Amino acid sequence: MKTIKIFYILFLNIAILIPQSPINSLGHGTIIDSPDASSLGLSSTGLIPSGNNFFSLHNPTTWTQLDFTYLSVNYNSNFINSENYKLFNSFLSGLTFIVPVKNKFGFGLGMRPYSRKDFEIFSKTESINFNNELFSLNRTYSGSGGISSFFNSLSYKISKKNTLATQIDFLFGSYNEERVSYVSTKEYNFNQTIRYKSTMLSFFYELKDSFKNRDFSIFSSYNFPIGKKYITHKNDYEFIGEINPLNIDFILPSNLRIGLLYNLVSSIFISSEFSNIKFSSKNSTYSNLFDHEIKSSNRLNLGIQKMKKTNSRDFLEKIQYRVGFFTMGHYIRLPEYNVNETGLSFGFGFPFGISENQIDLGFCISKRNGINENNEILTKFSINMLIGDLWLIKGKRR
Amino acid sequence: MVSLNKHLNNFYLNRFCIIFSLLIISCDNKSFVSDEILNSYEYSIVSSTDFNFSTYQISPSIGDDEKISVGNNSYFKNLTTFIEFNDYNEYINFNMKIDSAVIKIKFLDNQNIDFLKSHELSLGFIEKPNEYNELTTNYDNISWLNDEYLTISSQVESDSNGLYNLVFNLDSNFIEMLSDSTFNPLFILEELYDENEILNLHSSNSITNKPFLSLFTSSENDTLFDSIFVINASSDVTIFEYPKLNEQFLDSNLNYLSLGAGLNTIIKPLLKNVELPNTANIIKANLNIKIDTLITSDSLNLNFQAVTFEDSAINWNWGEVLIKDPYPPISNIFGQSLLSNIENSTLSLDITNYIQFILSQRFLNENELANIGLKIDLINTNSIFDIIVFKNNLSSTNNVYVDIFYENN
Repeated sequence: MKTIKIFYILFLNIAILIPQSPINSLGHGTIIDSPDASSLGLSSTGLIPSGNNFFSLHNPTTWTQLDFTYLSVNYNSNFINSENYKLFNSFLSGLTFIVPVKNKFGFGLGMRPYSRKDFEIFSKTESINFNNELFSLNRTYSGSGGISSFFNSLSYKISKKNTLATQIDFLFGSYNEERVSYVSTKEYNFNQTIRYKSTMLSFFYELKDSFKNRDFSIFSSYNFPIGKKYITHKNDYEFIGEINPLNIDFILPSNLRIGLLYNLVSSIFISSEFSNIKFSSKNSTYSNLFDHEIKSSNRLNLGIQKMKKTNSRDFLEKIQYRVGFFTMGHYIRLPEYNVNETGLSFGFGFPFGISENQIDLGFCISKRNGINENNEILTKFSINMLIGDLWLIKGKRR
Repeated sequence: MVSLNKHLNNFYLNRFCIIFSLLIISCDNKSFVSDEILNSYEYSIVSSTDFNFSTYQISPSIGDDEKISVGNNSYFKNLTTFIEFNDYNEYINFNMKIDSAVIKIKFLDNQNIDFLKSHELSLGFIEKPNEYNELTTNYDNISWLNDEYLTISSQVESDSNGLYNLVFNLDSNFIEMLSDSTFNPLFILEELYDENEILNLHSSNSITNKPFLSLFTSSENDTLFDSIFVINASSDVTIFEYPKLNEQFLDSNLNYLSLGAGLNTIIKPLLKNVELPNTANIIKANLNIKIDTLITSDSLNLNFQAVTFEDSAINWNWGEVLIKDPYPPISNIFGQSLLSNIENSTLSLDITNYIQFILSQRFLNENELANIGLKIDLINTNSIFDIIVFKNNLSSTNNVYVDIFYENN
């Protein structure tokens, strides 16, 4: 009861933020690629199982093998260090409820951030001479909000080797941004609110097999927007007032991911994952405060993890270890250039309780270049709590 | 066993909540300066020479001025001032005798007093006709005034402060009139000769320098009535013949401003062929008018203001003579510029608010420009007889132009 109460409070106060920097203010904002602590530790996007008992919170094909119903809460902290600025924030980044049924089906639902914008930028002051009168000009830009997802997943184990899953994400959220222009002693405000409505459909596939007595799994997923998607764009001008909102179509990307997990020796697994985010059009369909926009990206990661030995008497062997490396490139439109990010990560999983509960910790440090001239050093920390129960599968108690 | 598990779960849950709490209250710094993505300031300057112009004439508004005037110039003729004094019959009774009387009117500063060394002004009186009361609304009809009235000539004297007074020592005819309690006199101040000079004097609206009438009284039987009464002017007005737009100002390439001649000009920027988005924030907009001719005795103190009127002009015909000003001061005004004066032959008026307003209206009216123009008003002019002339843009562009500094949204 207490657990439910805590999660109820957390759910009501869910705040989905990611670290902001200049790149965070562009387009839809940053699409979140490492949604939970165990994935962060392995530098994975969530396709490769890196959590408790070879499962991933964000890959439903891995849910069918679970013995317990799980509730997961994840929390992130981020620190960005650049020559010009230092940024820190922390936030609750996901809530997932998973129910496996007879090792054949898996069902899950939850909320998580899809993308996030959260920034406040001050421009430098410039001077302009107009009719022999000197005006000093500067601006502040601020924005917050983003797209969140309420997702429902269903997986089905077709055979011992093959598992299929599907997931539907109902995307929603809003984004407010404000520009304040300071012209000498005057101040002009411009506000815009963008509300998102869209649906994404995902398909997952897992092939599990062995090669020379070594187990391996191949994972793939394809995620794409379906149905009606629109933003409601509402502008509020200083001298005109609020304009009647317009519904405008907008472009969300599709995401193709392929991953491999291979049992190297004993409980040690290596993994690799490739992710491609692609927009159907290079052109923007709605206006932001900035013309720049984040477009397609490619991401490659390599990881190695040592799975825990649940029944071991050695405490260190009960811990799950993860190390990862990733590199990714963002294409930025207007001006045309690429933002590259390379990083290392590591993580641990600490089991507790008889229902294979686990607390996961993930750390990642990466370097991003290509925007704002100076390199950014990103440090991420994530903590995830997974609580298992026999809820809905009471039959197993007998 | 179940109890132990519960205990363990609660143990970890408590610590987990503590960690969460510590993280949640951690700071969130999210401000930074960036110039890389702000490299295109959305500020622009545009200029437009597309305008509608309309000069029209109305009967000038007279009276209620702190100045009265006398004289002539090449445009304004036969300046005649009527003066009334407070009821002096209140001060005298049947036993009193007016021995002498004098009227003094103080000159404004910087008047060409030397002009009066060779010219004289005259003061006459008539019984005030009923038509006089209609003067402010029926300025053109002064047929009731003829030359058949007695006059006296002026003198000039300076007072202890060095200010000059126009002095009229009233003769026996005037004193006889003053002694008649049934007579309601109206004094008439005018120039005896037609010369190109206008002199300005303080009017009854002046707080400290009103024209006044001094009565020196006595009685044959009682020295108690030997006294002096100073009676201030109660009202005055200067009338004159003013230049007619359809007679003396026929050049439709020119626009005119004159309070004395009732000449008004309305300007409307059309904002054609300029890249000025409807959603722009106007930082500054200056209406620049190159002055073609300036007829004034004091250009330094000549101030102007652009006043915005709704439904400013039904049509933009030049040279209309109107009975009544369709855009009277104060009423219907919903915007006005700061005061400005002429520098280097150019009058520059800040019309930022006006441009912002018509832009916003253009946005709301689907690119239709609202029928709102700018009336150029003369403010604080020392003389209502100033005339300002400027060209329109028909013969040459850049006579009138608006510079707009804006921020694009």
